Amino acid sequence: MATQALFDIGNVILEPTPTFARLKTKTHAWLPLIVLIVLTVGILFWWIATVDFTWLTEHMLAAQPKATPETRAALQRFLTPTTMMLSSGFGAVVGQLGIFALSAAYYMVAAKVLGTQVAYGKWFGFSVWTSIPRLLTVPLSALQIMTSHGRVAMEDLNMVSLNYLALHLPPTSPWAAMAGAIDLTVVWSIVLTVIGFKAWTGRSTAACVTVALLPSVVVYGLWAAKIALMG
Amino acid sequence: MKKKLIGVALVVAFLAIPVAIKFSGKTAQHEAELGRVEKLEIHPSILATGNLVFRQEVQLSAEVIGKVAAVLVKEGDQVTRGQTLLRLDPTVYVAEVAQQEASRRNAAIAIERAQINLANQERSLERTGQLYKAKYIDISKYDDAVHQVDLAKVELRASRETLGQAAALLSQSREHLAKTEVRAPIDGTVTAVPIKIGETAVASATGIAGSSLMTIADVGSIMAEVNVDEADVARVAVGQQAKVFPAAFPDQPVIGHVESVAMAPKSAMPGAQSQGRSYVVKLRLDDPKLALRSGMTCRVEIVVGNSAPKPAVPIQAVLNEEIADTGKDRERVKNVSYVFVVQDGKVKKTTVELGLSDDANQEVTKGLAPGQTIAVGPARLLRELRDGDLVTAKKAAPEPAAVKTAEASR
Repeated sequence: MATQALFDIGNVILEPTPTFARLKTKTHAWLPLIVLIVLTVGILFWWIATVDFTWLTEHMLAAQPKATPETRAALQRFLTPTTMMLSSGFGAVVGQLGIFALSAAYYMVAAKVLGTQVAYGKWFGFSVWTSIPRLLTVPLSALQIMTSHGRVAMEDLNMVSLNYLALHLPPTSPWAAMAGAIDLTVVWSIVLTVIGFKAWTGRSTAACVTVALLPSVVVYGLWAAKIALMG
Repeated sequence: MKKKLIGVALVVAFLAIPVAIKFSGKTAQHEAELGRVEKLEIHPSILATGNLVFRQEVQLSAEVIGKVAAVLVKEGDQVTRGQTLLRLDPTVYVAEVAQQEASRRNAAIAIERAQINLANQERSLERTGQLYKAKYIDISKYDDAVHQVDLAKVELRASRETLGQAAALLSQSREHLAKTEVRAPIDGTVTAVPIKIGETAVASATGIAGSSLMTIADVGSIMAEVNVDEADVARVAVGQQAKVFPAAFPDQPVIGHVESVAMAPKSAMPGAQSQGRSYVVKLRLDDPKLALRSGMTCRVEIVVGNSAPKPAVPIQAVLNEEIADTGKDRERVKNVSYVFVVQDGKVKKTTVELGLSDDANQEVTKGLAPGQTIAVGPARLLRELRDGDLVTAKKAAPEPAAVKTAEASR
């Protein structure tokens, strides 16, 4: 069983349609979930263990030229390896689980609207499986950490982000955070969601695309609107 | 199978593109401020604080006791030597002079009386002598007459001395009278007048009220007295130039020269815990145009180095790092200084040995030659530069010097 699940991590990427059809009967999402969390946390801890904290503090302060001395002092107090490990570890575990739970709820509601009844637990597994492309960023992040001599910012760990690949916005730009959040894995996950959703519900491609795109469009649309309106 | 190939191709592209971007971006050029190693005069300086004081300052105090009748000057007035500044009530002293004059006259009269008496006794002796020769009287009568003449002579001498004594007392009284007028001992400016009309001036050296009448100082001769720490004082010598920054004019330094260096440390106030010894260094101010006042606090930078030009770089171009010493002690950490030399657009980390330094420049004793181009900033970039990185000259902001000349030519 576990071996099959391990192979399915690769199959989701290489042959998504048959893999999703097989996963509908038995999702066993725990394996990719553990792999995702362990690798994400592992990369983050590795980065925190090797990063030059003096440099990192300056880098983060440079992104906030208008910060008051109190803010700077607070940031400097916060930026210690222990607090960073705790906060990023917490974010990687609880944050990911929360996002999977939220998107599972969304998929269940969307499927219900389209007339398909699938249990919440399976949709949770579905969310995990569609996030598999994120695993591909792990070797890239590892490469960044190894070649940077401890001087790489958290946003530069993600080498497939829009900002890293194309825009090269400075950290002071209001769009930098958003450009860093949108990356190729988001697109890939959306494609996998379309394929998987179609395999699970059998609805039209147009409906599946709508379902897959809607969360991203809403989230990034609101984010962009906020930046555009409030700067 | 075909689909699988597409999947593999996607994965490969997904991994390869960012890596390609990363390594193609490796040759990104950094914009750095560049400078040259130049032969510069290094002026290391030592810092000290102290006060501005007037070179000549006198505190006038009363020599006689008396009520102040008139104060003829006020604070800030220019006075010349000998000018009357203050008058005490002279009544008592005038009376004393009159009394002494009378007693002197009395003494003069006493001399006259003694002279008349002497003349009378001499005549009497002459008569007595004739009578004695004619044997009309015995020798004892004659001896009496001689004795009377001697007594009269002594009395005359005594009255002459009394006259001298009276004259001395008179001149003393006159001196006292004269001292009721306080005169300026030096040319200068009145800097303090603590006494007022009606108060009693007291002749006393202690700091009780009424003992100090006024302070006169030569305000043109202001100087700085600073306390130099014992660690630095060995490097201070007479004649060295210094910049004096009065607290009231923190950005308008006055140029001064060291005039004297104390031989002994300044004694701490009794009972006060001294935080290290310091020596008083006096500085002559060359051209104090500013409105400087005595007692102002000042900060002084004494230039202690010799002024031979040496290869130097801007101080911010020199960076430090700690490297493990490869010597016998494995635990030892060595602090090394380095600069980035720019050659053909590439930076080269060059270890240097440092000499003297001042506020702006750092002497380099080893590792650099004058004329070499080095990266001097910005500081953030310098910390991130690595051997072999490409740099281009940053378009420099207009230098302050250039702006100044532009203003001057207007």
